[in-house]
Amino acid sequence: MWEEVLKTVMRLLTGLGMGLLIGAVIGIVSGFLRPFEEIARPILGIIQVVPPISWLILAIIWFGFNGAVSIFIVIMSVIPTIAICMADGIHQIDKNFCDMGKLFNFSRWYQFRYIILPSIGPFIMSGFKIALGNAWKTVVMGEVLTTSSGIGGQITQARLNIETETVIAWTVIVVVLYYCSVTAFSLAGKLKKRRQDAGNKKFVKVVSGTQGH
Amino acid sequence: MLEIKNLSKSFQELKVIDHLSLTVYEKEIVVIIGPSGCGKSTMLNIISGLLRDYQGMIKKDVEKIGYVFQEDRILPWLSVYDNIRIVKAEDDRKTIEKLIKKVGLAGFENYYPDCLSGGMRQRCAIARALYYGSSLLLMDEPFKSLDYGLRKEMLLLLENIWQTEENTIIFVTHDIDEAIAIGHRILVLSNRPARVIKELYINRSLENRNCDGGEMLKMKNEIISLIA
Repeated sequence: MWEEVLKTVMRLLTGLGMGLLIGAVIGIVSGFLRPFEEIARPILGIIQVVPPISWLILAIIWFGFNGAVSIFIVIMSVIPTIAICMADGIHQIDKNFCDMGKLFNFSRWYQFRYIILPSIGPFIMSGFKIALGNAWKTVVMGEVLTTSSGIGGQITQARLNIETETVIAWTVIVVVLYYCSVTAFSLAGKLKKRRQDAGNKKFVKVVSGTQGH
Repeated sequence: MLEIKNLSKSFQELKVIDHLSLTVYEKEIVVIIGPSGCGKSTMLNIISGLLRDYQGMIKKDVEKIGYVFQEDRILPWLSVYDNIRIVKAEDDRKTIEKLIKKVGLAGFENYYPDCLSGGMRQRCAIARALYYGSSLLLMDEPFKSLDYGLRKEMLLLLENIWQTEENTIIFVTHDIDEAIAIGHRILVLSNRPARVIKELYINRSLENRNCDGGEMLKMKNEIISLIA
């Protein structure tokens, strides 16, 4: 069982990683270069609107019946979400902070590290959460229709043997895995928040200590 | 330290500054006062290099310029310490801690801006500008959003900083009391387009400037009549 789960997870991570990378590049360039965005937006819209099943059939023609199809449809579902969220995030960066960075002679790295990245962070997080849900759906769908391995392959086997309870069990596993991945992803954000809260508690202690004397 | 000759600036059809000339000498606090929207902030933005499209000549004897903005512009995702640290490539912990203490934020180094009061955030912005290490400090109505008590406190802090650090300060405000309380020289600007219409010198020490009577009250009334 775990072997099949691992196969699906690997396909998902590969698709997600590549989709994130391509989507991030398109999003960043679109955010900073208006002419590029004017070309990219309609293309991203088309990618979003084309049904996953159409991508799937095209991928079967291009790659044949194997795991590559699942990876491909994950990539296509992730790219527009990430690209649009990142471009919108870049448009929302507070110009005052950019001016501050210019005035204090921030290097390009400092501008990116301390102004751009934290400003678009919430947009990336939202985009990633949406992309992650879509990716789980599409990767299993791709496996069901193109391969006998992975969770999707197991669902196909169960369907052929008319094992309803197995289909439901695998579906539950997919849902649980989705929640595990979202939780793992949110953990970093929560740790950061906890660190900030720890600073706040320290502050409250200092203030109440002062008042007590 | 800074010489401006015939500075003019327009935004499309709107002329904001018109042939403005002024000289700022080392270690003095020059207050620029004028009606709201007369082009004071635009002038500071030109001096700092944020706005580059202008006519006239600006001669600066400083490499770096520190800027304290109307809104504090401290980064909400960084602690007080990190907000100050990032304006320099090197992390000089000793100097930063000294500055934090000087602006009255000792104990709040690891605290995030969302839970600081307006005055504390502005103190952090001042510490940041000081850590940047410039001998010229531009301050654009930095205490505008603070209440009367806090504003008075911040003026005392600024006075203390000037006495120890000996920076040259260009302080923009539209508050006459604030101008008289802190400036060695007050330049009164006209309504838009801005020009210097009066230059006033205050020879009294910073501690001895009560606007309630005598010479200071006369000066206050003169400024009121000029910008009203």
